[in-house]
Amino acid sequence: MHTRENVYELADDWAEPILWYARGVKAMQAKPLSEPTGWRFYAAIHGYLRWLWDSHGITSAADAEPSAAEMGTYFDQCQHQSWFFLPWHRGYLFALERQMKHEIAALGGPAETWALPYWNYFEAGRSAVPPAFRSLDWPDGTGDNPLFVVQRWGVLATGPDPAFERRVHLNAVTDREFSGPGNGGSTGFGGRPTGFNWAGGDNGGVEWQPHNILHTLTGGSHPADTLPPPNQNVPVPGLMSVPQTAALDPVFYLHHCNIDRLWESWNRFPAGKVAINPSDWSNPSGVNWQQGPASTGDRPFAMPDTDGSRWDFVPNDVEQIAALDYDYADLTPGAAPPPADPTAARVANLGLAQPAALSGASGMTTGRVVERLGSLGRGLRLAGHGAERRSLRLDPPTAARLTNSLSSGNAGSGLPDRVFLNLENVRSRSDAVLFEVYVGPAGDPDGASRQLAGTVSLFGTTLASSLEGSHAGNGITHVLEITDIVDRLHLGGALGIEELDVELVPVGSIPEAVAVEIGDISLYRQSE
Amino acid sequence: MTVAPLRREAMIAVALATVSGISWAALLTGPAVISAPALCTGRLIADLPSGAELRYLLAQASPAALATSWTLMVAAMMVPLFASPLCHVLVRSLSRARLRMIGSFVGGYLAVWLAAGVPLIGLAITVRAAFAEPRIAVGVVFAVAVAWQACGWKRVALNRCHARPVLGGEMAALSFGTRHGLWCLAGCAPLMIAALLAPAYTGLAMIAAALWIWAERLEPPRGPGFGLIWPRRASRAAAHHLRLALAPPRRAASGRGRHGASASLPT
Repeated sequence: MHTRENVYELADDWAEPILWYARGVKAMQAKPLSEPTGWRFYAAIHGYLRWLWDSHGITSAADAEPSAAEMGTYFDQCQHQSWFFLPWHRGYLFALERQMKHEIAALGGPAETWALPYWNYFEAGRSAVPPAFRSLDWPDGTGDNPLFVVQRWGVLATGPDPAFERRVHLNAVTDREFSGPGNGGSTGFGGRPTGFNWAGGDNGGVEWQPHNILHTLTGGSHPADTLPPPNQNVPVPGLMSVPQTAALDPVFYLHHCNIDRLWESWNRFPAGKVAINPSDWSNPSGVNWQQGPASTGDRPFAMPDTDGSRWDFVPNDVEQIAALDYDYADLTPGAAPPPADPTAARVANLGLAQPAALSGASGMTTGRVVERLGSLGRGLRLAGHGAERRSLRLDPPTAARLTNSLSSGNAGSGLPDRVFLNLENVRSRSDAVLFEVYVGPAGDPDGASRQLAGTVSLFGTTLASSLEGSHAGNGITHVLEITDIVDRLHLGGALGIEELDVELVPVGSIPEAVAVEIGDISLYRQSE
Repeated sequence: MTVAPLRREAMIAVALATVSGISWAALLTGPAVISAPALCTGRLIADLPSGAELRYLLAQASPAALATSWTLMVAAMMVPLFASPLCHVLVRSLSRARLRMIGSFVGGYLAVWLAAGVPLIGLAITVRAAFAEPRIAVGVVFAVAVAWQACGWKRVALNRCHARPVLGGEMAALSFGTRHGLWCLAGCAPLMIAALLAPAYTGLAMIAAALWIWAERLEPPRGPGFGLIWPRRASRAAAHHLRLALAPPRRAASGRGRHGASASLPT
C-alpha cells in the first residue's frame, strides 16, 4: 500500500516524491509519440488534437503517429459531463502512476514507496501551482526542469489567486447522491448517466467545481498570441485549459489526484456522516455504471500497461482504492471538514420542523419532482469586459410551489425545494474563459443586493460546440445550485414569484472572437 | 401535474412503444386496405406492370388509403426514435405548457414526414415504372440507399439528429420538431424507399430498415468522410448482455462498501 501525500506538506519543494516524479516525467518525455509508455502517448489518451499540439511545439512533422488501431483503442478517452468522469480518471491515474513507478525503478529510485502527490489548493496560500512546477530549473540549478511548462498562463501559474476562495468551492461534496435527477436539477456529486462521453452535456458536481475551474485558472490563455488560421483571432490556450492538451502538463496529474481524493473523501469522510437514503455517499450500483460503457456497446476504457500490453477496466475495478493498493494521507476535502448535516442545518435556518425523513433510510428520492420555474426565453452573448444583466420570467404557480416549500416544507418529505440555475447550451471557440454569475431580486437597479452564484469555466466547451461532436454542437449546460441564495432572498422577503435577476460578469476581458453564446438561462426547482 | 423525471421518461417510452406497436400490428396484420402486404405501398408498387400510370395505382388504392398506410409506416418506424428529443422538450417546458410543447414538437416532426410521403411514394412508383423487372428496380434503389448510407451527408444528417436546442416556447418546439424531422428524413428516406419497393417481403424489409435506423442512431459521431456506418454499438451491447446472461459478472452489481475487494488489475 502506498500513500499519496499533499504536495505542500512534503519536506520541501523538491522532496523525494517530486524529484523522482520529475525524473520519471523526463524519461517518459524522451519517448516517441507512438510509444504507448511515453508521456505524449499518455497525454493523448486523455485527448489529442494534432494541429494544436503542433502549434504548441509539442509535436512536429517528424513525429509519427501510432497506428490507427492503437489510436482508436487508446486516444481521446477522457470522460467529461458524465458519471464516468471519476472512475475513468482514477483508472488513468492508476495506469500513469504504475508507469511512473516503472520508470523510477529503471532509474534506480524508490519505486515501491513512490506515489503521485496531490495538490490540495483549498488550504490557505496553497492555491498556486506547487513551487517545483514553477521553477525553470532543477534543484541543482540546471535549466530543463520537465515539471515546468511554458504554456501555463493562468493566475495560479505564478502565485496564489487572491480571489480563490470566492471563485472555487467544494459544495459538491455535500451532495449526498452520486448521480442526481438531472433534467435541470442536481447532477449529483459524480455526474449523470451517459455512455462513453467524450464531450457535451451536463457536468457532475465535482467536475464543475473544483475540477473545471482549476484547469482554467492554471492554464489560462496567452495575453497576446493567437492560434494559427482558421482560429487566428483566438488566444492561444494554456495546456491545462483544453482537454486535448491538459494531460501534457505534469501538474495535471496532481490536480486529478486531488479530484480522486475528493471522490474517496465523499465516499467515506467523515465516518458516520448523515445519510437520508441508503444509496447516499455510495457509487451507482447498476450494471451500466459498474460495468462501464462496454455494457451499452460503447468503446471500453483501455490503458497501456508498462510492458505495452493493454489493460481494460470498468468502474467496478477501480471504485475501491484499497484494491488499487493506495490511500491518501488526508481525506479532509478542503481546509476543514464539510458540514456534518447540511440538510438539517438548512431546515433549521428556514425555521421548519425537522422532518422525520432526516432520521434516515426513508427512500425519499422516489417520486421527486424537477420542474422548470422560468427562463429568460432567449439567448445571451457575453464578450468584452461588460456585464450582462437580465430578468428571468418565472411561472407564478410554479414559483408559488417553491415558496410554499420554503415556508412549510414539501408534503411527504417535509423538506424544502432545492433551486438550480441552468445556463443552457453554452458555446464558445475558447475553453480558457471564466465568467461570474450573480443572482438577485428583480427591481434592484444597481444590483447592490446581487449574490454570487458561481464562477463558470468553459473547460471542454470548444469540443462540445463542434457540430461534428457527439451532441451536434449543443455545447455544455452549466447547472448552478442557488438554493442558499434563494433561501436568503426568501428569509429577507425579497423572493418574488414573477421575476429574478441574473447578471453575468466576465473575469477579465472575453475577446470578441471567442464570445460566449448562452442559449438560454432557466431556473428549476427540485423537490426533495 | 408534476411528475418525477424517471417516471416521466418511463411514461414516454411506454406511450411511444404503444403507438409504434399498434401501428406495426396494423401494418403487418391489419385490414387489406392499410396493411403492408396489400398496400403499404410496397406490394402494390412492386406489382405494378412496367409503365403503369398513376390512375392504375389509384384504382387499386385511394389517396386516403395510401395516406393512412404511409402514416402507419411513419408511426411504426419513426415514433420510437423521438423518445430522447421528446424528453428534452418536456424538460425544457413549464409544467402547464407541456402538452402544447409536445403537440408543437410532434406536429412539426410528423408534418415533415407526412408531407414527404407524397414525393417518396411518387418516387417509388416512378422508379418501379421505369424498370420492366421489379428486382432491377429494387436493386437500383437499394444501391442508391447504400451509397447514401455511406456518404458524408448521411453522417451530417445523423449527427444533427442529436441536436437538442434551447426551447423558449411553442414556436421553438415547433421549429425543433420540424428541423428534427427534416434531418431524420434526410438520413432515413433512401432506406424507406428501398423498403417500399421490396416485393413480397415489405413487412420484413420495413422491420429490418427500422432496426437499422434505430441502431445507427446509437453510433458515435463521425467526421466528414465516406464509409458505411455499421451498427456496432447495438451489436456490442447485445453481445455484452448475452455474455452477462450466460456468465454472471465478476461481482454482482452493488454500491460501494458492499463488494469484495478483488479487481481486474494488470499483473
